[in-house]
Amino acid sequence: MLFHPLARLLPAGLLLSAAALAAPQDSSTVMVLQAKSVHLANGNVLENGRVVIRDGRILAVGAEANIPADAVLIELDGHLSAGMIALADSTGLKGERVDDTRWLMPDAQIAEGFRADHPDLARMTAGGVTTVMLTPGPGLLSGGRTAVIKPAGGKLLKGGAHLHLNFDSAMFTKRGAARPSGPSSSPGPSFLSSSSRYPNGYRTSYAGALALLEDQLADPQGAFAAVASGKLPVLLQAGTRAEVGRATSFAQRHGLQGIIAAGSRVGELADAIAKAKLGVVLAPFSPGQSFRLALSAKQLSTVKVPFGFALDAPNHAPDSLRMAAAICMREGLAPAAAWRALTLDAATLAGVADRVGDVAPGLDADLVLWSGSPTELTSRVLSVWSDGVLVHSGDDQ
Amino acid sequence: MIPLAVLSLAALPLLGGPVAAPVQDSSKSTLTVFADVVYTVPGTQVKNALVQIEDGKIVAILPGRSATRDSLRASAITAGMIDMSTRISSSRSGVEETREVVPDMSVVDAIDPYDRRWLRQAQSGVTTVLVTPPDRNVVGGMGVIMKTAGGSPENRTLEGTPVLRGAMGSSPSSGNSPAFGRPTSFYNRRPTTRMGVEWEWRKAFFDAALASEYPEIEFAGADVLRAVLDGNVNVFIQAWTTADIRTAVFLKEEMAREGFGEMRMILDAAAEAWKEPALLVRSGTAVVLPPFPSSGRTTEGAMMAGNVAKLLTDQGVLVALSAHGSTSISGGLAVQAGAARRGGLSLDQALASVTTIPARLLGIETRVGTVEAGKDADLVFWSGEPFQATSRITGVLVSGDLVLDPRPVDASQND
Repeated sequence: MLFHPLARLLPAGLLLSAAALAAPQDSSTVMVLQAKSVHLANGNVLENGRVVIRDGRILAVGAEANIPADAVLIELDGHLSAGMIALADSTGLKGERVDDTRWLMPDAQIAEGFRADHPDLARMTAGGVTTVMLTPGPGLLSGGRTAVIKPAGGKLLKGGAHLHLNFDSAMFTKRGAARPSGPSSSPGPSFLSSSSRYPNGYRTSYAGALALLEDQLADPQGAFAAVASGKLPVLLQAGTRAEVGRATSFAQRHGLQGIIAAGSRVGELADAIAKAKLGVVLAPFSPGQSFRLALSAKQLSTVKVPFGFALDAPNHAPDSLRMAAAICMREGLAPAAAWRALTLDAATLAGVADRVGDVAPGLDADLVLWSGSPTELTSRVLSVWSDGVLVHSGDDQ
Repeated sequence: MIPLAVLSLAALPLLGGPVAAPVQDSSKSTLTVFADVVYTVPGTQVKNALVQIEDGKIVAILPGRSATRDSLRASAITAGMIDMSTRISSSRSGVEETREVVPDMSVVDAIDPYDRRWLRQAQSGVTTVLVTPPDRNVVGGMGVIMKTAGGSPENRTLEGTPVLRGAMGSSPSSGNSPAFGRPTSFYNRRPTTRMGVEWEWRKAFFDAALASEYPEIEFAGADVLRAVLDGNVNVFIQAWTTADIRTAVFLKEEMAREGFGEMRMILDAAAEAWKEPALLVRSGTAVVLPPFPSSGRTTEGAMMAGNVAKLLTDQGVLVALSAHGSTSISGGLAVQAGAARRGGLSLDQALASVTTIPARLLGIETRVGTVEAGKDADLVFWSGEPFQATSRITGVLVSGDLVLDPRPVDASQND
């Protein structure tokens, strides 16, 4: 689904200069995109703004930005913004998210299981999602390291971005090859002895899991030394409020930095999360989603806890990102904050804010052209650029 | 059930009254409760009493008064009830099953302060509970003593005598036998029988006691077992049947004979304790009874009649009652106390079995268990004589907070 022919832009109502059509897609070519408006992460909107791009990077942004003599000017009939960023996803990882031969796999790299040619990636791109954080699955105490990728072309932006640590009860119940019968299966006679049910470091209780984590941090080695010293952020996975509370106090106790991926009521612990200086990954929008998710976004925003949204494709379409943001706005989240959650804040939490998340000089030219304001659900994705290359155009999302 | 939000709104007019100057402080700062009878401590009743509460504590009980305009009212008032075997947070993730003996673990890591059962407990008159790990292990770990309401788990936790939980009987061994073959490889979890359970207990205590002589047998949590032998930590053992009760008491007596120490032992769910009252008295072992069964038969086939609490109390055994977490109209702790009365306990004895006796067993008697100045304002409001089948719990205070409002709902106040 990746295609380049610029001619496809014409049906989307673009006015192209003759030079643009003639120019080869050379990386050294300076390209200037001029749109009806350019939406920045700080909430500012530049009318008739220009984005100057060279070598896949943004050179300058502004209504009055200089157009170099050799530049190709492309006038766009639409609204330009940074590409969206999804936190927590498993696209291209089917069946490869958890290595459950051991319960503690701090050095597993999810990037190694990523299929850069997975067909779902093009769907993400077409939905305006230009950066995605891949996260290990739920069945382990530590499933390894996250990775940040660009769906367009399946590029790895950052490997080993976070150490995944689990506080969710799913770590006791998810079945893996090493654990044919989970410890929380229904009581009564079980046909396997207990020890063979819990080999390779598995524990059956919150107390056991916490004790194991405390052991790792008592004399930290490897990945745990990196998180203890603050060099490597953590991704804390939690479900219920009690689990969020445990994860938060654990992070605070050990001075860990990073983010917490949690259930819909996470906002009720916003104060504690703010105190622990953690960011939050909110669940993706689903039909029947509790309004508490939206309330959580507002509660987190009130105490200035940065957050982003999980996507969990292919179970959720890329549009669910904007849908989640819209539901949060309905409950009172400011549109600017909602947009930041989809771009700059998500980039910061993913650890890639030096590369993506805004339309600003020095950042990658990951851009989306919309038919209207990006936070309006009625707006459609018209075109998508990744590293300055047009990777999607048209209405075929 | 009245939503809490309504309660807090409704509590405001109570302080200032409609004409008085507006009171800024919360309802927690001061409160008065008037009752026709206050059961202050078992055996003592104060008539027409005003109970004054400040900052969550009882400051005075004034007899021979009448109700003021602002006071909450009840026909009778008792201290909040204490249940030592509520089984909240009893999911399997509350006990570490990778080892059979885990005195180094605590159920505190598995407690969910947002569990709705806390409020149900509080509204059923239970204001303090002991939470313990579920009985899937021989030694399942440390319990925690908590109020059923009042904010974060830290704020709700009471400092008492620590409690180590364990079990006799079939619970720790159920499911451990392999489907085929013999359980002889190291892949097998022990034990598979009651004998094996008893062996694990004895081995744990022997190893803990002898570890100073043989450091190589020291293990995680052995210090907790030594504290049990020193009498500084209660050991709270589930033992439904006579056989299990005997096993537990003999364990205690054997450790004393060996010179390892004198345990403070409490048996939980000791349905058949009535068969061995002399043994319990001899060894100074207290019991917590399970809910009274309707048919006489309880778990593990243990038989328990309605007069068990009476029989044991008469013999001098300390008896606490439990509802095992039920808050139903037919199974809550108040109903258990009523059943014990029907079985022959006096009102004072029944009251003691759900207030002062568990408070003493848990070492929290300076905080809770009676209605006295200086104690926590944990109060249960009754519509008539406590524990009578015709009496209802009309209000509950936990640490001075209303969790069940005794006043009739007045819609005009809640707008």
